[in-house]
Amino acid sequence: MKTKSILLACLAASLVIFAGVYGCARKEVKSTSGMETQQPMKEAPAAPSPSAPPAREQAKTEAPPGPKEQPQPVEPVKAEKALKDVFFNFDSYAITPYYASVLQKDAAWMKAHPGRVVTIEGNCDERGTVEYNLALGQRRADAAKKYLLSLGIPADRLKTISYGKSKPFDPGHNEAAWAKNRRDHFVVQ
Amino acid sequence: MKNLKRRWIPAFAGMTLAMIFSAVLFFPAATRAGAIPQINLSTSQNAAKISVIVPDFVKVGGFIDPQNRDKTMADELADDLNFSGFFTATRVTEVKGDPKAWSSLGVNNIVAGSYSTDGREISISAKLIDANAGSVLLDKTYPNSLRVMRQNIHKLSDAIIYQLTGEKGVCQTKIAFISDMTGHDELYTSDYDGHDVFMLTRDLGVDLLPAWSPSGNYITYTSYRRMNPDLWWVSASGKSRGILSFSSGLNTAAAWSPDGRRIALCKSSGGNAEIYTMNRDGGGVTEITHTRGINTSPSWSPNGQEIVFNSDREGNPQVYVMDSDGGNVRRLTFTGNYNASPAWSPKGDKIAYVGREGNVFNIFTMDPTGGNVVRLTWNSGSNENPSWSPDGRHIVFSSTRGREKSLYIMDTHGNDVMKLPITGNCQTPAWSPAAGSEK
Repeated sequence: MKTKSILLACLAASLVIFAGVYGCARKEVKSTSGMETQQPMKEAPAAPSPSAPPAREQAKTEAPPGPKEQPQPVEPVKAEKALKDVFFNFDSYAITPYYASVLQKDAAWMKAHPGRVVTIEGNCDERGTVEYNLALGQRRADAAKKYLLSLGIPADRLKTISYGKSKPFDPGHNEAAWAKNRRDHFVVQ
Repeated sequence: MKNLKRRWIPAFAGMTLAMIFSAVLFFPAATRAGAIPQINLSTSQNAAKISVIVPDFVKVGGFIDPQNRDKTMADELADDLNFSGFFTATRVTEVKGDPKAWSSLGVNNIVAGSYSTDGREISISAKLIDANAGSVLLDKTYPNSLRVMRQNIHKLSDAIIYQLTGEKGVCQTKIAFISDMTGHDELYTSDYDGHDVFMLTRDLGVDLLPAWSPSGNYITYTSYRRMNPDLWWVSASGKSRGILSFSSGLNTAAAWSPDGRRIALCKSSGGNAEIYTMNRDGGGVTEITHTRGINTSPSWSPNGQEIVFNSDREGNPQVYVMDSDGGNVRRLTFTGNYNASPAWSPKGDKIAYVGREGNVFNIFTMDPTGGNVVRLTWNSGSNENPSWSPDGRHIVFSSTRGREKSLYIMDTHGNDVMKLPITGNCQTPAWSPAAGSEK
């Protein structure tokens, strides 16, 4: 009986200690992450007065590297199921016969919907450098554009953009994910 | 009582030093266990390190400091000195008595720091003492330190490094990088040690590949905020920014020439990813590579006469070097089928780059002629985008060795690896120049 009550007391005490430690740990995590994210970003106003910001710079000796930003509206992009994506082999931008047939169907849809502009987004898997994959993604987008042009789609209806490896469709780190990420994705505007 | 204390402190320090020395001796062996054997230079390097004792900073005026800055400032100072690679800095709570007693324990220097407050501001002072001679080598005071405490400790560290080694330290340098801590890939800077993180963009899209101007006043980076990978610039303070190169397609992988007058970058407006150079204001654009393959990742030699870059002109990505006008192209890498992201060291003696092995990348260095290849990372995830510290003694890079992609710093032998305490997936780090940081 006595040992039982001692055991219970120990259990209760350890629970209290655990709760205390857990609480402290949580607080600590919160405060550090808060510190790192709280830094406010102070952007120059959209239309800055021509005199002010560079003069306020600490180093007055150096002129800014280029002209000031001009505000420009960002157009919303809507994904469309009508167009099928094209996939690639590693470090390749060659369109395989199967995906050529996919592009033929895409071209047919575009011909049936004149006036719609399509953006071809080139993407890569994570096994490549950021810089090289940006160029490879551009090549993939250009390859599909070139083929669609050959099928009679006018150039002013086709835009290209490369995201390199920065917008993976599947965040996994295996061949199944990589295969999904080596793609041209079509967005209809 | 006083005597007893005097005798006890050196004994304690001796124990601490003994522990540190044994840690230094055994740690490299432990970390190498299981890795491919290589020659390890770190032990002999440690033997030549300057031994410095850093006690808690003394509160002058007897005020109560709820933030324990007496300890945190001393910790930061010791971290800076240890990081530099020149020192073995040991933290103690206090130093009393004759500095010669420390000298007999192998201690070369003592940093006696103090701070005081007038209720609003804080003033930091520190004396660098030669333990053997008992003389004061350096006496620094930093008033108005309340909001710039870390920066002033970094300043003090660089002053001590310069005093004792004649080398310009990098404790006041910054690292620019991309993190997704907000859910978007935005541009940030931090101190070299990953503290004082500062958010520079709020583009809500994708930002990539920052590069510092040689003055350290500006950062160029690629942003998709206009639905195209354009090259933007932002002042290091974040107060002003603008667009620099916005031709259709890529405007990426920018690198400033060492004199700050030209920027090399990768553009694809001509239908192929080629390297161009342009003036710092975006004018005077000149194409300097002309191949059917991909050409990107330029990095200037410190004298500005050559550019090392990445090209797949012979079938797969390799590292090449050319004159800065595009002539005299030579291939540098021949091992493996994917070598990329070259970065020329500030002293010009090395080029760091990444090589793909299976599904991951590792970091290597080589001579500018392609010889003397040394591997710096081992069995530790994918390691990418090496960038040199301005003194050429360290390299920052991203690695997937942990749960997330994070930034790490190592010395040029691949030793003394330190993870930067920054949240989110972090990538494409760029170490700032030292210029403008000295005061």
